[in-house]
Amino acid sequence: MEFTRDVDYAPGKVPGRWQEGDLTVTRGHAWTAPGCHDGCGVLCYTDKEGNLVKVEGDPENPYNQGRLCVRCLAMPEVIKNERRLLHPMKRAREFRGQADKWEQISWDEAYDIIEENFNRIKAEHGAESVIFCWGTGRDIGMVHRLCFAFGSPNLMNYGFSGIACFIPRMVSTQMLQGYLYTVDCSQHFPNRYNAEGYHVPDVLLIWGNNPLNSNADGFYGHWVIDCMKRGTQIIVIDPRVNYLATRAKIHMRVRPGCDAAIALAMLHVIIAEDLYDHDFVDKWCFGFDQLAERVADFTPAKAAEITWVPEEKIIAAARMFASAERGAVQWGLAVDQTKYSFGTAHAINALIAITGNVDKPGTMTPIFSPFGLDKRGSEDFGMLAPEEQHKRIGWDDYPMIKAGIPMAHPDVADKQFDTELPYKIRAAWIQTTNTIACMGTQPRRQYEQLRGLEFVAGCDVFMTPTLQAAADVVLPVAMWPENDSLWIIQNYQVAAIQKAVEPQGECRSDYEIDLELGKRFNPEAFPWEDVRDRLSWYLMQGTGMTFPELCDAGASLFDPDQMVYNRHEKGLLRPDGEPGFNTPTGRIELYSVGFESLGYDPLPYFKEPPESPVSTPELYAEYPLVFTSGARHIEMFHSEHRQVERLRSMHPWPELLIHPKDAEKYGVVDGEWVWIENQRGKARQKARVTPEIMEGVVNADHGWWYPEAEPSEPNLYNVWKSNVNNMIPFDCGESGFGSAYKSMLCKVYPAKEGFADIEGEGER
Amino acid sequence: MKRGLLIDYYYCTGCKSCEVACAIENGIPVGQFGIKVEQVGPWEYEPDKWQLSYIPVPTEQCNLCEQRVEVGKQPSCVHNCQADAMRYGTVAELVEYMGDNTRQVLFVPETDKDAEDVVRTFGQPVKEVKRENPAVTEKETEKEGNAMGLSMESTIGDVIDAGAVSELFEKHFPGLLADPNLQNGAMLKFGTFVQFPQAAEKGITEETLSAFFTEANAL
Repeated sequence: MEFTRDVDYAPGKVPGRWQEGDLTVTRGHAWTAPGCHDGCGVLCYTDKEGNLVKVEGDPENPYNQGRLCVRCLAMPEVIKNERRLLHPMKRAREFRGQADKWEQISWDEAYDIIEENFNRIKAEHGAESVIFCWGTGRDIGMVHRLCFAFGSPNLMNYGFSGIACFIPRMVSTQMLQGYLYTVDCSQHFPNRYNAEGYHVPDVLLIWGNNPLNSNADGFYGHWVIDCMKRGTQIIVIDPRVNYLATRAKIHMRVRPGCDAAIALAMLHVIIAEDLYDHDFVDKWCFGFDQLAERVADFTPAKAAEITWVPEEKIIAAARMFASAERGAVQWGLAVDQTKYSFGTAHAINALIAITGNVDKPGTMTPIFSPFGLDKRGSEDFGMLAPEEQHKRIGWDDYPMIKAGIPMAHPDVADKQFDTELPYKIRAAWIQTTNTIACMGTQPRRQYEQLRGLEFVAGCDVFMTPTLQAAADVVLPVAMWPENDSLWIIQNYQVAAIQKAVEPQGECRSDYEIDLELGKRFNPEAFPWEDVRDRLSWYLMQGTGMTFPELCDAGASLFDPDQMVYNRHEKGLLRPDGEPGFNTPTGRIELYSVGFESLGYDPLPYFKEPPESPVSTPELYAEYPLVFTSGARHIEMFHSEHRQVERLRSMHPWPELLIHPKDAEKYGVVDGEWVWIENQRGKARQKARVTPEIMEGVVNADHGWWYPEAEPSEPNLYNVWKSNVNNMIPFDCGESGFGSAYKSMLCKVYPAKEGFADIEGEGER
Repeated sequence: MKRGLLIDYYYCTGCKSCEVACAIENGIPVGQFGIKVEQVGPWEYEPDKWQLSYIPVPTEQCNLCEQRVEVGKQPSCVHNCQADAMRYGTVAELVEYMGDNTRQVLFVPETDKDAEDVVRTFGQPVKEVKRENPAVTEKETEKEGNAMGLSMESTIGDVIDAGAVSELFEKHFPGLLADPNLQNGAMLKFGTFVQFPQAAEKGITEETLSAFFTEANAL
């Protein structure tokens, strides 16, 4: 293609910083902290005193094209929030959970304490007894290196059963197709939708997510709107009637946890009616006959009974998707947050493959790293000797975490805390992750586990319930306008996050903290003087530019080699340069040889959720509503932003969505607090009675705590009051991935005892 | 000349970027708004047919961002609109823009004075205020008076909606102004555009451009 990076960002043509009247404008990108999965182009306006006055979308950035969501727009207020952590602090171990026992210390002293304790525990018990916990959607790639350079193989999404967010989709797609892919919204091209040869998808399936709010890794949700304006028709699969559902040609309101049944029935229709792409299947797919056999009896009628979606809608959706010249699937969390995530992901992958919607404009296009750069995780993992790697928690339990995903297994770790076998977990590093308030399954367990550790240190932008409960040392983290870094999530662009303001207090970035701590543990593994030095070293390998040069050149660089279609025909997908896909059979595996070798079902499948109206009728009699959670809101990222008044005012309390008919049946009144309960636990949220949610299903918010409430124990910012994960079990799929966060059973009833303990407490 | 905000309530997704962008730009406290997104629905009025609209409504505190449009920028709400469902302009322009489209509403807030004319269209999110290297911008400013001082450094956007210059462009390259490729590529520099294979197909080369620049700069 002729479209190269000089279209918008030729070095020197577009400045990285300029003056507008009294204000200085810094061009860069936003990422974290606070959390986000995207890296939008931003213009940061600062005044003479160095205050951040406003943040706007960068109109010359192809990624977001001048647009921005409320979380970045509110940044001037987020940065100045009075509840921010501003200084390193320590607290004696016996005072864990007590907010008034913190003592301000210097960075040096904080590092000294962490170094001394971690190294002592390492010397006495081995490095593996220290776990390194990290949060999602954060600029903390260096925590890999920190963990492995220290000598521990245990980097993890601690407490998160089945690592049930994106990882199941990622791993299964890697196994089945040999790469990761994403919807082609022209993001590879600097001139976007006008790029020569580009065409928007004709039909886009929005499956189990609301991209407008969730903005998945490297996918700016409103690209869907851009595509709709250019002719894309959408099909939405979601129990809720949201904006996209009302603009969809077909909306299937699926019973949570049953997405695989829809996909299998669509495969059935497409194969039975001979609507699949024969040429693509013949040349590039493996195991079509076995797939056809598997779905032969999975009729739309059968799927309708399972999913509560009318049969004719499933048939219409299958025909519409299969007959589109270009089809694509924007899939989401619903695929991961079922115990049988692999069956679901496999079915959707097969749907994409047999319709030939791969590697062409407006379909699903592969993702690689720009300039060959983004290999941090796996490279760093090589720093550990094989015998150290084998000590990773879950190594013998789940073979798929040995390769590709260098993370310890949360479900196995949960057991290991009890058994202390094969070794006892003794210390934790908690980097910008708020386990007990956010994704932790059975969060009381993580609370007890962390409290029992010999030493806990962590860092975050605000004090969290998790750190308040368990940390002995806390470090204050800078926000993205306060630090230098890079955003390299997608395959086409290297984007500089350019410091626009000095950090508040003594805050330092996640990146900087990892670098400095790393030097303490293992200086040879961290030969860089500072963050900029490291960023330049990293960039130089692929681009020949230093970090300051990148900033001066407008902060962004497109990789022209990534603007390529039909890679599988050109031999660009396999290391041997042969045409085909990077799988054992060289084809997209409808029948997975890899799954088979690991003892998993080699074909797509559907199984009833472990607790459901069908699989556990007795439970259903007592808990007559299907429960789902995890839906994203634009104004808050998971458990964050609760202390930012402007954002909180848009969503002041956790909401339970319940259908008017169910509300009437169970005596629930709109706007009043209700209990959501099952056999494992309960939580209180505010009812919103609305036909937005389907009858028989309730949708609860996740990640709620109250920064304005009493910080000390037992309240811990009221973290236990509204936490729906009280109701979720540790019960991941056979592969180790996927867990039923989104498909449980519950009952809902008015909270008669009132809610003063939540609503009335403290000033917001 | 009255100015307003044209809002497409089919494409407005209710993301509230306009609310926050406006409040930060204009120093409006939490709980008050210069523009506020109202939600209508959802309800099911026929089987499988749903009413759900979001409509940003400007308030008495909206001044159409006079301080921004004076320096050639879009109002803050329009600039940051995620769905690109808002357009600012004179009422006449906006009415013309509405054309045969449906599900649109035109707000005409009252402001203290008229603002400079800035145009941005639906569906063309990249066409926006351009910011160049200060050195280049200054050079162009110096030449103000004889249109724009066009060169290979100028952008396609510089000749779109630019009066006599547009007419001259049309004379040199008949029909091209209406070409969606050009319309949508408003941020591209001519110097870049000529390198594309389709540029030559459309008769745009360094030679033909040079002839056009000479005539345009003599206007």
